[in-house]
Amino acid sequence: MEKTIQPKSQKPKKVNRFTKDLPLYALMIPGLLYLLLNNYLPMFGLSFAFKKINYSVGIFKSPWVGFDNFKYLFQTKDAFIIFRNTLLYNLAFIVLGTVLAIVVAILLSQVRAKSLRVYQTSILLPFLLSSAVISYLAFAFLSVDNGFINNSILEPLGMKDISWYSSPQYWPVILTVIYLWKSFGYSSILYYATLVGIDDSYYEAAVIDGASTWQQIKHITLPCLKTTIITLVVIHLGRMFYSDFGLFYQVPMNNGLLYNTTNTIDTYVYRGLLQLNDIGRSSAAGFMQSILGFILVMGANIITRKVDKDSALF
Amino acid sequence: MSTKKLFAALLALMMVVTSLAGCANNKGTSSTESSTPATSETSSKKEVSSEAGTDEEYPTISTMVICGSIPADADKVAEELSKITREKIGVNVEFVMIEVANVATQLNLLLSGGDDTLDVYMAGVSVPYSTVVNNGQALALDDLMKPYEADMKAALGENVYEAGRVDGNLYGIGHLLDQASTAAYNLRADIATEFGYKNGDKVDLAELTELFSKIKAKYPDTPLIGPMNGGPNIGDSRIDQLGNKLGVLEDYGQTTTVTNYYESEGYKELVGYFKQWSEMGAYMPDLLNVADAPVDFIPSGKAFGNFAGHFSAEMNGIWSSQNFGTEIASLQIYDDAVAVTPWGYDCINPASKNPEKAAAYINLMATDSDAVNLIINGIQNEHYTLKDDNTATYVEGKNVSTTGWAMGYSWTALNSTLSYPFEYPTDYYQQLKDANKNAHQSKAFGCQFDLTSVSDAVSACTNVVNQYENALASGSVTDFEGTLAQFQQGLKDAGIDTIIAAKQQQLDAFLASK
Repeated sequence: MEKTIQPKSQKPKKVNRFTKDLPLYALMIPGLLYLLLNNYLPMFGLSFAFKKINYSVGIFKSPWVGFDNFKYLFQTKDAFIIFRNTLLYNLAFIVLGTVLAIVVAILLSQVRAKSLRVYQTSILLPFLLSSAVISYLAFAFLSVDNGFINNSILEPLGMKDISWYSSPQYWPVILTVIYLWKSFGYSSILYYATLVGIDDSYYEAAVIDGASTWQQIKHITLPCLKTTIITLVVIHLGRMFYSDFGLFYQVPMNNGLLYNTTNTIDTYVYRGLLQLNDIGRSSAAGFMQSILGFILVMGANIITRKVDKDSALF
Repeated sequence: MSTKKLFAALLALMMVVTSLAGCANNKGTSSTESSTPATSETSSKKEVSSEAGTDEEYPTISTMVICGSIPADADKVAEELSKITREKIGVNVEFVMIEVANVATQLNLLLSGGDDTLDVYMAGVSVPYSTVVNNGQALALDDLMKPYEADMKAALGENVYEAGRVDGNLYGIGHLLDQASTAAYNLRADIATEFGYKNGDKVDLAELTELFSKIKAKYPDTPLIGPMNGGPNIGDSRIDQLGNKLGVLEDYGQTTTVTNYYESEGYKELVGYFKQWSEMGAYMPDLLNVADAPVDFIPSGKAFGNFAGHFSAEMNGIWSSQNFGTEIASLQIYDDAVAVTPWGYDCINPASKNPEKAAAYINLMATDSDAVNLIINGIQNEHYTLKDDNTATYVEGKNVSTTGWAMGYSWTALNSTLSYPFEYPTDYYQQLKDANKNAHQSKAFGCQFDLTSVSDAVSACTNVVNQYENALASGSVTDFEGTLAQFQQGLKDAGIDTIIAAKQQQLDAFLASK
């Protein structure tokens, strides 16, 4: 209103405010600078993907090779396997991971405050373990002669030992279980933070109306969580073409017999280029992963905006 | 008031920026700093000069030294070596210690940035020589080495010296190593004696299999094949692998036709034996995932032996007896071996500020026994003592983990034959040289293959080999013939034929130029 009535007197006031707030803006500079240095400056590295790097002439003078660096990703029939594995695992991780995290977050919100800290710490612990440690924990379970599963579960039940590390068919399940075990603590705490913020009066009103716990969850908790769920899923979609290298390389112990179900884009690139030390090719893989992830995020966001404008990320 | 605030904000900003800049500077050298505090240029130059007196006028050459874990006395040995180098070539030496497991990452980082932290380095451990040459990470040496050429050839042998040529230019100086490795089976000595074998005996695959079944009949519960370096590690001494085993010379390198090893009769035969050994239960279960070292499973009787490679089975038995915690008899599997192009090379970083001095240092490491011995065995009476027969051993009360210097890495030295043999017989290095000389000399000796043009196929084939080779060799599959067929088909699909063709073409050119 003010604007339309006195546009002229508004302007100098605005400038005044800007100069007045300048020190506050200056506080933002380190953050911006960090963002620039850390997130935007490295983007010039994307050009590596199109070069044949020669260290003696330097990166800028290295010759351009077009899309040559990308070819090896699609050349063999392994291409199908690594893309399939990467996508299917991520899909399973998103769906199961989200469901598990929400269930755990709701359970957390029901427990008494005293024991909450114990639960939170214990479910977060696996997230802090390194993949090398996890791989040996898994080995303790799966080893043929000393493993827990073969010795203490299958044998007492009178079943035959399973040679886990030479049976690729079990690994989709094993890896998914390990991933969920490792990550559910962290993501459930994100959901839990939202849950804590829901106004108690909703639940009180629902109880007065005679709603059961399940009805409360269905009609209050989940709708309130919707925005968080969408945000986290869309962020995860951006990493759809990446895989947790430690999980897929260390946990199956780089065992050739398991490649059919454990080889992903990242492990394939690592194994293939370890000796060649070709940063052009490895950048090409990273470039492709981020572009595809970018497209997915944008696509998902557009769809969300069409369906429900308020829940969209941007 | 507000200008004061602004000023404060700007100051804060500057602090952030400078601390960030500090980070960036440190990153490149952090790996070296942790081990040798005296290398950080700005802070400790003074210390160095006060320690060593008048060495300020000498330039410093930094050289990569490979170790198992970073030793305590690295600076001391470097200072001792500097005494020799100051006198002979007028430089100080500092070490960039790199743990053998980290060579690939650290060396790549040190060589990527145009950084002059490292002057002389060794290519061949995890990072192949052809890769550094191809990436432009090694300086051309022909002119630099001119003054030393004759001496170096005399010390290393002409064929080793010339082996570093790529497209006619010398980029690295080949290490004088055991060029002819033979496959051996390590067996606990008491078991070997029981069945009539002793250290150094020759067997062939059929005889070995017979021995396996005899031992198995008497000790049915103990596996015979455990891991070595995390894998089954059985080599084939009948071929020249031409670097990466994708395209090889069969028949002890006496042919000039590059062939697909995994399609050869020899490999098929070997897989047949893998199958027999697997059926008789000779393999340790889950061999591929057992990370135990032989010292963990051979003395305890968890398995009786494993496979290894060495220029002499007899020497391998001596080495293993010291390292496996029990007497070992090592049986040679193939009756001969083939001497192939060396895999280790000393190179100079193109960013080096003192390439001439670096070349002089390389020459010293090839020809000066004091310098070589120092870098291999450390300081006398501090890290090793000399026995009457001119062999070295640990000083009283020390062992591989308590001594102050990186012992056991003589294989990373340019010319280890000039040093005192460490816990080996007196004539160890003479035997090594003899083994090099007496083995079949591969037709491709000295030919450096550049596989850049087929690198897509190389990375695809590497993945296929990773998938199948160790699985077969560790007896972990159930259908050996079927897996072998899949393996061969996988390599075909991944383009092994283009690699073989490229190698053949380069070999032909190499032979024609000779």
